[in-house]
Amino acid sequence: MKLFTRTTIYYLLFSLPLLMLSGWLLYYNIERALQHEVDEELQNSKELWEQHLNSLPAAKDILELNNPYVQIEKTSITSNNNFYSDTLVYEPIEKENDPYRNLTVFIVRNNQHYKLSFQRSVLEHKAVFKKLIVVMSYVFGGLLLLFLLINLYINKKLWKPFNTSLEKITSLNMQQLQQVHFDKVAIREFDALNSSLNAMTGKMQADYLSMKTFTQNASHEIQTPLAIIQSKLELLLQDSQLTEQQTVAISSAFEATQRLSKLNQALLLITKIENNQFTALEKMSMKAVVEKYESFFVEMMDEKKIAFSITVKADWQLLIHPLLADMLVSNLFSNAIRYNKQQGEIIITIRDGSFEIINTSTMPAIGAAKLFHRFAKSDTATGNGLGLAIVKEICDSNNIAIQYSFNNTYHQFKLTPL
Amino acid sequence: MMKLLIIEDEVSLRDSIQQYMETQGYLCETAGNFNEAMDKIDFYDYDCILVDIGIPMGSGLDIVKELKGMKSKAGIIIISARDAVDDKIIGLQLGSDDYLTKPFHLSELNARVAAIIRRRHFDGEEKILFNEIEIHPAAKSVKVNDGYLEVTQKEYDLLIYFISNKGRVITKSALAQHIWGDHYDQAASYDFLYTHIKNLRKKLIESGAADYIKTIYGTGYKFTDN
Repeated sequence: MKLFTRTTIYYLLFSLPLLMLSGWLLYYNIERALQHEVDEELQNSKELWEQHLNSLPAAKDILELNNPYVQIEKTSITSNNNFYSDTLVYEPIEKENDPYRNLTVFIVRNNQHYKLSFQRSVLEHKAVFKKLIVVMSYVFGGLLLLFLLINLYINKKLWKPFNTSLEKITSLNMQQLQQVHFDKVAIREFDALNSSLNAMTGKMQADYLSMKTFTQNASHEIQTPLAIIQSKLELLLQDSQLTEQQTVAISSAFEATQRLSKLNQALLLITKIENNQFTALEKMSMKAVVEKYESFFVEMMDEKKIAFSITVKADWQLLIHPLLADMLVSNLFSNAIRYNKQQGEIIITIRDGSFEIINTSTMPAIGAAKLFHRFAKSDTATGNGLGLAIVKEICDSNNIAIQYSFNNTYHQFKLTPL
Repeated sequence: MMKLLIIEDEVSLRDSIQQYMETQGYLCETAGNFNEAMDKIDFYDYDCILVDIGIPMGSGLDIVKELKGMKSKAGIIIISARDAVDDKIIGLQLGSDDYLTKPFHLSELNARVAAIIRRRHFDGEEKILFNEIEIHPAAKSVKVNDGYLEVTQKEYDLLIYFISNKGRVITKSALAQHIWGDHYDQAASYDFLYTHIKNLRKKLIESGAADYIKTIYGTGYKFTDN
């Protein structure tokens, strides 16, 4: 979720209840104030009328005094309780019910109980009140909108240096060793952030560079003594005085240096893949890569009399470094041959977006724990135990998903885009 | 006699190369650093120069540039411990004829030097002769006692490799790597190498050549007439 969305939600979460509460308080208080005023007016007229009635001669029939402001009627109810009430009164002119506030007073005159009802239209008050609510809503709505606009502005303006730095750091490509600099900004926190970022990226780049040269130098340093050992052994083999036993011993040592050298190269390759030192520049055709290796592997397959079939439903164009494409295919292919049985079977299927290699084998299914793990080779394996680890590493670094399945002596590896 | 210059700072490796190449009939000179190498190429002509990239006082790549600048006729083979694809491409772009990654087989180095010298000096017109066997690299044809021999590409490559390293013990891995290049380490065994050698040997004997391919138990082969 974007920071702006988050802050907006928080603004709304806090301000809406607050506005609602203050709206309600305002409404409640204004209504009370208005009612209080009406009630006071009614009370005043009641007092004026009572004085007036008291000043009249006793014989005067007060029922004659009836008028729109006060209705007087006889009643049998004996009560001292005056009370206010709200009523609707039908206005014949406008043909509608209008709200009225009513004060009912009971008096005794010449032993006769009367009920006096004082009425005031509150229609105007209600109209004023309605207007007030509308204005209030506008004000509150405007306030809310203003909040959001201020928030937007703050987000745009204040966070700008942050967003600039963020953009820079996300587009930063370590393996291409781009020089990146985070500028000085006025806001102290962001400035601190930027200078830390400068220090960090500088350190990372220096480390990356030194690691890169280290791995290459390490390989160089190991390969040179290996080259010396190998050349000396090869020269030693030329000695015609050697016994057969000595020759075999030298050959074994020779083969071992070869393995050591291959192992060194494989580990170096994995490190390079992990460091993303292989940048894919163009799309590789899986079909072309497989075909490149086919003629070589056909010989190996012939040795085991393996039946090989390849089906290309549609070519898969894959964005990957050519060297890695080669390693990927050749490792999977050679595994399929190496662990195959005599008169076995290999089936390769290429579709647009998938590469599948299925082979028969006398070996059981590869356990999930061993699959793709470095040096996790089986007892009869002749490889260096890094083949599948390299395959996995290549897949991981190139957004390829690799699946392994085992079904009735058939081992299957399937590559799909992640 | 063909002259070689070996530019390599590792004394042991340099000696090995020198020793092997001298028994193959080359006259070898050596240089252990950039300045020494520059002095030698300024004063003498060589048929082939082996250059290590990482040498003291400069880079092997600069030597290649210098050689190209003075229009040297020498063949150039870069030997480097770095398998970096970029180095390989730069080296070949600068005009070196070949690139070998350490560690390499001396027999492979020898075969490549022979191939480059053949190409440079005889435009591939030279015949490769070994007793009754005659090879014309330009036509890729093999004759035994004036009769043409039908061989596959791999058998042809093996035969040239054998003759280039005649009288030397050649390991199985050197042969496998020569024939299948970098792919060979994907191979689980040398079984399919045996098949090719068996076939070549059969064809040679059937066409009337002597049995020159000797098996060295547990090690490899030797192409020899004694």
